[in-house]
Amino acid sequence: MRRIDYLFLIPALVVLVALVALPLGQVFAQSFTNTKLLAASKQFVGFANYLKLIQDKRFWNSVTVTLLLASISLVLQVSVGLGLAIVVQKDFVLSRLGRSLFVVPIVLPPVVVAIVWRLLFSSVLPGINYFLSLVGIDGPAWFDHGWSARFAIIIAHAWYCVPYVMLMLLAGLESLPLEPVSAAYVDGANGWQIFVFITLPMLKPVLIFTTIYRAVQALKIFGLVYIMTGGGPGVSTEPMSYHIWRVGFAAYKVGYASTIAVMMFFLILVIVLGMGWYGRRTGAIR
Amino acid sequence: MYQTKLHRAVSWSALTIIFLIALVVFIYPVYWLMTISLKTLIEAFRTPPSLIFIPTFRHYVRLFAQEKFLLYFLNSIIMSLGATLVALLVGVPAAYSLSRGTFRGKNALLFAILATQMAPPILFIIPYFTVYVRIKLIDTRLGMIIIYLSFTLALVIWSMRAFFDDIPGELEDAAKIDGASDFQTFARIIVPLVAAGAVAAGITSIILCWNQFVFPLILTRHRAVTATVALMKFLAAEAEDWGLMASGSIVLTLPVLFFSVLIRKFLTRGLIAGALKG
Amino acid sequence: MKKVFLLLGIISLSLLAISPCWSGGQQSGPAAVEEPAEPSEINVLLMASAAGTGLNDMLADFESKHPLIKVKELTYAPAADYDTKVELELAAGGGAYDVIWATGRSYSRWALSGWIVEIGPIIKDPKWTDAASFNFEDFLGGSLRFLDVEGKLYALPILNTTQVMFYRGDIFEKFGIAKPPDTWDELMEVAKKIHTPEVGAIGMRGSRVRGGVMWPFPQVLYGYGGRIVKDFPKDMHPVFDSPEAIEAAEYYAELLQKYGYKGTLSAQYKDVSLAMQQGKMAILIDGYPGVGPYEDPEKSTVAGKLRFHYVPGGPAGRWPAFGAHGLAITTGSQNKQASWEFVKWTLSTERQLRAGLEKNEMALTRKSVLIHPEYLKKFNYADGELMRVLAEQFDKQVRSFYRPMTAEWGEVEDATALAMSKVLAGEQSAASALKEANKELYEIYKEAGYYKE
Repeated sequence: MRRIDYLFLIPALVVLVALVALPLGQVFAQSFTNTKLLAASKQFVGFANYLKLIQDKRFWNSVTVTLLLASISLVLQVSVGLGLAIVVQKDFVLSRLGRSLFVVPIVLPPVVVAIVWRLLFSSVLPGINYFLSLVGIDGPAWFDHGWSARFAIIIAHAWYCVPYVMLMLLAGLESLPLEPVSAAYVDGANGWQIFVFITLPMLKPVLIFTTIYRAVQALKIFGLVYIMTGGGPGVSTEPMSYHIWRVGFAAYKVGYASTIAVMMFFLILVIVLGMGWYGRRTGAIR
Repeated sequence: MYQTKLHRAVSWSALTIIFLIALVVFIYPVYWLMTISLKTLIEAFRTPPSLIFIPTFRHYVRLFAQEKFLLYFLNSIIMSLGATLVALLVGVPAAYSLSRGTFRGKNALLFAILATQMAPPILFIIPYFTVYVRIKLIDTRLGMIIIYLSFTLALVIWSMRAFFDDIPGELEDAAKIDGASDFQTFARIIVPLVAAGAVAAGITSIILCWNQFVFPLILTRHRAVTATVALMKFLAAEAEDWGLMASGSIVLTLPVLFFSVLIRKFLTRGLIAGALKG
Repeated sequence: MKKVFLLLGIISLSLLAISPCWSGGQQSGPAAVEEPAEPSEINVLLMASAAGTGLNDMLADFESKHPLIKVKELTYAPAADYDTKVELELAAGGGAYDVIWATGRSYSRWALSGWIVEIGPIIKDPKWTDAASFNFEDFLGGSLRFLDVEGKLYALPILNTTQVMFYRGDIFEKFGIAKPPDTWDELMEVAKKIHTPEVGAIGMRGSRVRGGVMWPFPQVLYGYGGRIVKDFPKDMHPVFDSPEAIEAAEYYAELLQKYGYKGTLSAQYKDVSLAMQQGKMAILIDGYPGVGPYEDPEKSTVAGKLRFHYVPGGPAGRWPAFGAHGLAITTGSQNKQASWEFVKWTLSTERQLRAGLEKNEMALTRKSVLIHPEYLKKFNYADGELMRVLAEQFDKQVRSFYRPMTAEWGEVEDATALAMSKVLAGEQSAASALKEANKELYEIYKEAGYYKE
């Protein structure tokens, strides 16, 4: 390892260890106890919490909800984000306008995004249901039923995250070398072929990294759910992080909450490892 | 390009239609928010929404009459900029090493960095709170910058690594032959090439910090309160003030909007220069 | 010789110091309350809510009365996670705030943890409180009983509230409904007649969040003879799955599913409030302090059309909702006397009346304010009908017990609200959902040590 690598890496590692690894370690240790928030004593209970977790129906429900919400949102985010990045990258009149305007959602604080979308999905205000009524559809009471509540959260979440993806992919697209593309045109390929066989493969590293990062963020979804549905109706929109919050801060069982957090951590780890393996297999990651 | 005129016309119009639909989808919610901030409540929520209206500024007047709103605003700015600058300063070099370096455990390290982001932030609040109270970092801007660093740094490293990966290794070899040191190569040659990526990562980081809610809610008391927390106050349990919430939201987003438009201008200029060079 | 003078001097000085205390009850001059002798600063934390708003504007009044006390910080924290934030602060020593808002939900836990100061002795101590001007009996009895924890008082009420039935006079007239319903069964009948898809017959909260469905539902539950626990506070075994409770839950679900406005099944307070303002329902049963926006022509399309009535009763009688929040002094405070002065001022008749007249606050806690002619004149909705309904309801129908407010109430509310939410969404039958919830309640209370089995 070169000397410069030490210089460059150590500060970052120090920060990350102190700010993240240590608290994570504490959470991990806490998962083996039955600590209550603000209580004086705590007891070591070994794997009892983990056994309890495996039998916890509500936990497994939260896993299902998390995977459902995150996966559909991710698909939407990446596809729409890529599409917008391409549209905005092309040099036509509106593209510059597009760059500024499509970024707008991320400018809003997530709290506000949640509130606005809550208003938009409300049955009493001129929001989504109003627009649906213009084409003759009688929109449901979105938050009253499980399937529609989930749909609402996915839409709001994807809406909020698309600009992030677009930004990253746009930067990626713009840093791609031009020669392969012009060469392909000379060879007679059309736009679609160029995109699929030349641009996309070159974009793979940025694409995969962006997807993985957004996936990790999506699996941690919390704020939107907290404000839009409170996990309801029933537990149909209760993801893992909300379950942790409930157990830890609403029921004060910090020890058990840590256990759920550790499980969530491993779950995300497994998913990301899977994505990384796929990335390496397709040659996108070195 | 070798496409027929019809082909071009069709693709242009298809593009424009997609563009317009996307525009409506992405802008309408914000537009609606803005109308709520400029109308009386009864007008704002009327079905069907009125497109033409006489704006009223009372919600904005009331917003600035709220005590300390400017202080909260300033706090948000300082914390976001501070955490981002430190993250870039520490993270960009680290990402470079993680891209170029050839040492054992590199991939493991990379993965570990991503792994630090996999835990739900809510559980961090308790250890941070107890430690901060003890070392008196609670309710301080510095304390908040430090905690923001816990996620901005990973974001910067993760994003920048991809951009460094895109730069071919020949550039550094050429520089070395010319006698440049590792550091000079990095600073003079490599960094300018990833400027676009750094800016993108920086914007994302600033916005992420700006929008934080849970951490400032618990870890501040009076002095370091941020604008997002102040915003939630306007939505008190018993007395919804949608107009104030809307005007507060709009004012909250203005600096970030302005900032990112400015950065976009810089980005475009940088890219044109890059294209000419390349 | 000098010694004698010295002794005389000391005796006379001490006589002067002691004498006000001797005069006991009857005091002719200003109160003998000891003002803090040195300048002190206090920090106040309040929850953004329907009472105690805009205090920053009124502080000049407080500071003119107590020149040596400075309110350094007066902050309003959002209601979301208020309890969590305060508990973290209190557990860490609590000295950061001197006076805090104590929510009805967490109040007993904070009291039992020793984080807030017992108020009873302070009220009785003439050095701290002048009984005559403080007028303790002026506080609503129900609120004081609500804030009683094991026979002791740890906070004074700053907000108390109950629910009423708001109904659209114009819609009732249109459908020929002569008088508002008095029982839940009658309500179902009326709802059937007046329900239309555009304007639902009824709206009540249905959300599973705290402060959601479990705010109005116990009114139905108790009206049908159901309970959450068998005999609060003596027997804490949960009976949430009793036949009466199931009947109440089925009623609630049927009412809202069939005749509720679109969106009531998942509604929180802000949703029903907005829906009422938009004229989407004919009847609303919810907290009365919400009336302000409904009658405000700049916010509401139904201003001036509302009439008011009591919350309906069931076979087991009427049981209207009741809730209160209090103002407490933290044990960690270094300036308890100054804090007490602040509490007294905030809850004084004068300040509360000002809040009512200037800030449109209705959930005030002193009788003298609630019957004050100016207050009555200002909140003269439907020619004073609301005030009459409230007076009668507070006086005769409200009981101070509405929900078992123990330290575990938060978890209990979560479990019961979740069950109701499932029933409302049609995901589970009332019988099975309530049974599941009851099992959870059993575990919660058992773990808290109320019983061994």
